[in-house]
Amino acid sequence: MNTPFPASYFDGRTPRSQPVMVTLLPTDEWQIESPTVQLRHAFSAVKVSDRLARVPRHFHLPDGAFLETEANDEVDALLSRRGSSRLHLLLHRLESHARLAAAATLIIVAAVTVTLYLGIPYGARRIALMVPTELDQTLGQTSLRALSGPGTNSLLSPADKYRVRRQCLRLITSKNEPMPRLEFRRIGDMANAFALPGNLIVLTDDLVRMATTDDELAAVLAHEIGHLRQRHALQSLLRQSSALLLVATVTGDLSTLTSTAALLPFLLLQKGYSRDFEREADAFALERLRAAGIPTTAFATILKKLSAQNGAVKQPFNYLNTHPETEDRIQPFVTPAEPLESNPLTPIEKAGR
Amino acid sequence: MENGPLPVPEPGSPTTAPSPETAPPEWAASEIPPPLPPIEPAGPPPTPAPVRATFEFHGSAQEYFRIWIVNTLLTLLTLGVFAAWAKVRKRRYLRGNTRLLGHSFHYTAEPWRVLIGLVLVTLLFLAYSVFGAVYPWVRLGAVVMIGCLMPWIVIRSMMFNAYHTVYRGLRFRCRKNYAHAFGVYLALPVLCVVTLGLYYPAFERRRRQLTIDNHRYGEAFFRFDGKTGPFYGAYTLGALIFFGLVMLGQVVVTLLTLSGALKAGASLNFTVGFISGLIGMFLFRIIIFPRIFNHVWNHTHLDRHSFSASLRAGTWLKLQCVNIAAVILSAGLLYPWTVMRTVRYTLSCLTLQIDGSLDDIQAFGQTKSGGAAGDSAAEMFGLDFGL
Repeated sequence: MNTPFPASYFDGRTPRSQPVMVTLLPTDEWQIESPTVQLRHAFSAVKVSDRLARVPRHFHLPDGAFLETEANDEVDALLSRRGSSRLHLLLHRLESHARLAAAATLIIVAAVTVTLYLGIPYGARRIALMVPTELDQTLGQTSLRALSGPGTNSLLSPADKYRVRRQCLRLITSKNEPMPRLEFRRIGDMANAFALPGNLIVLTDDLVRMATTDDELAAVLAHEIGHLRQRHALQSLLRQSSALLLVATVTGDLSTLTSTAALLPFLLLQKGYSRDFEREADAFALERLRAAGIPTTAFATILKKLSAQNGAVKQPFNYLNTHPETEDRIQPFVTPAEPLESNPLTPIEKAGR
Repeated sequence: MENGPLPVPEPGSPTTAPSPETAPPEWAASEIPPPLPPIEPAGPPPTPAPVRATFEFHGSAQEYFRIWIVNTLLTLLTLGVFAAWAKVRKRRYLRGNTRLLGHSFHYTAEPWRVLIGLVLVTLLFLAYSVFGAVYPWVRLGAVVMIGCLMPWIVIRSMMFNAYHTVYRGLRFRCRKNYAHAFGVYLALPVLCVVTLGLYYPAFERRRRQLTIDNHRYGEAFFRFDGKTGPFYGAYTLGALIFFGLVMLGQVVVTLLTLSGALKAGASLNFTVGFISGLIGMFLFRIIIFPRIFNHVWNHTHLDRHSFSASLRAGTWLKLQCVNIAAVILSAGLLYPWTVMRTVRYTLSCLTLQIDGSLDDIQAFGQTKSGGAAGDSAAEMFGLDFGL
């Protein structure tokens, strides 16, 4: 004989509550009893809410009435004894297990970190390289329009522009590689270069004037071509969307994306991703300059000039910068390079050819 | 558990019991009940004193953390499919631990319907962000489409959530008032743009009005009679604080660069401007919320009953600052704790002034519940529907 448990009965017609005692009869019926209420309902006709911590249990009766009880353990015991599926209790068991919660925490933190710093960058790169370049054109056009407002017309002479284009030719040696389109703009007194999707590079007047040698121009172009070849703009877009989705999934709540607390880590993540791209572009530039026979110290020179002009900011703010520390970036470009002719054949074998 | 009205003596109840002198002779002396003390002559029943019922929250951070973390793990393992169940459980936990007059609220939504909504919203989000960047017209089209659909999304999601919330056996309802929703969500934003944002506080008031006036509990109607003035007051104060902070940031930068402590540069200006803007936004929301919350609830009624709210600005500021620090320092792990704190404090400041009793509210006839797709889309845009 099952022990009855106390509950509040609501007839579903008014909010009036009546205290009742509820039990499960051997005839597989719920019995609801009180001095004023005598009801029986078939087990299958009553919808019982799943166990959720100490939240009061809810019975939805077929005639629109409701039962509310805090006797969760008794209800669970009755349901288990009846032999109905344990699935409804499984979630509650998982949620009550302190050690499981601790393990889950560690797993989630590890999984999210790995995904954000390894999984998403990897996935974004694979997908970006597969996307046809035609799609890039539209992306680039939009960005170019943003940089072409009134007052941005370049004041460079055609000779200067031709000089820059010549450097591009030095870098593009393969016939299969399309020549990037070069655009010149004047953006205040900012010296900068942008790689836009669709094989487009925008340079500002001040950058061209800042470069005293052709090699320095070539170095900047090599870096920008690096961004283009590796489809960094598209990768950035994919990374951002995936990161947003991941956080939304983890917090189970899309509205947290609009909260201030979530904004800060996202910005830091974005800065981190940008620094990844800059590093990759630097590495590409290093290789391309060497392959073209251009001294890599030119890149170091122009980079130093750029950082001096943009105003060196004290240490604490550097983390918020999109570019890695200038000193670190210059390093690979000024160390003595390995001989360009390094090849696996020994000198004797080479002589024999 | 006390839930009924104060006892009201019924008129016409027996005022005296048979006394030994007038008792019929067949009655033995021991059977005669002792005489009752005389009571005042029966007149109109005194109106019962209004009951002030405060909302209570019984959730616990340890419990909620375990629920949240296990649900998150399952969501990740199922690549997001479990998110619908997680969302329903979260709502059940928050509503189920909210009590008024000793009884709790119940959330009866089925996770399957929420899942369909979530899938739809995710697809829309991906389409908007990825395709929208490649084809700008997609983004524009999506904004226009969402703008036009917003009233529908808002109403359907309110209907869904209201219908699936049960308190003491009666369901809440939201009227299918598309006309009102279109007026608020299509016409008024245009007005906001045209007035360069000056209309916005009034828009917020109209938005609350749309929500509250269209909700019912059983047959009882919710009513909102708040004025626009306090909205303008709150937003003006918030704006002053925001701009004040940004200007302060610029002043600090100028002083530091003039004194030579930092070298001037575009990136320094940008960084400081950005940080002060971020803090300003955060403070803006903190200043506005208690004022608007109190004003709205103080002017919300359910038939002849009224709500009143007493959120304190100082307590709220401290609460939110601790929350954001906790979330940042714990990489988000203390998020469930901050939710519990916020809900507990908010509910403790909310009371319902009951005139008589709630027992005379009748149930509404059966209606079809709203769709679930509108439900998650609404959450995506950070809209909050109270209750």
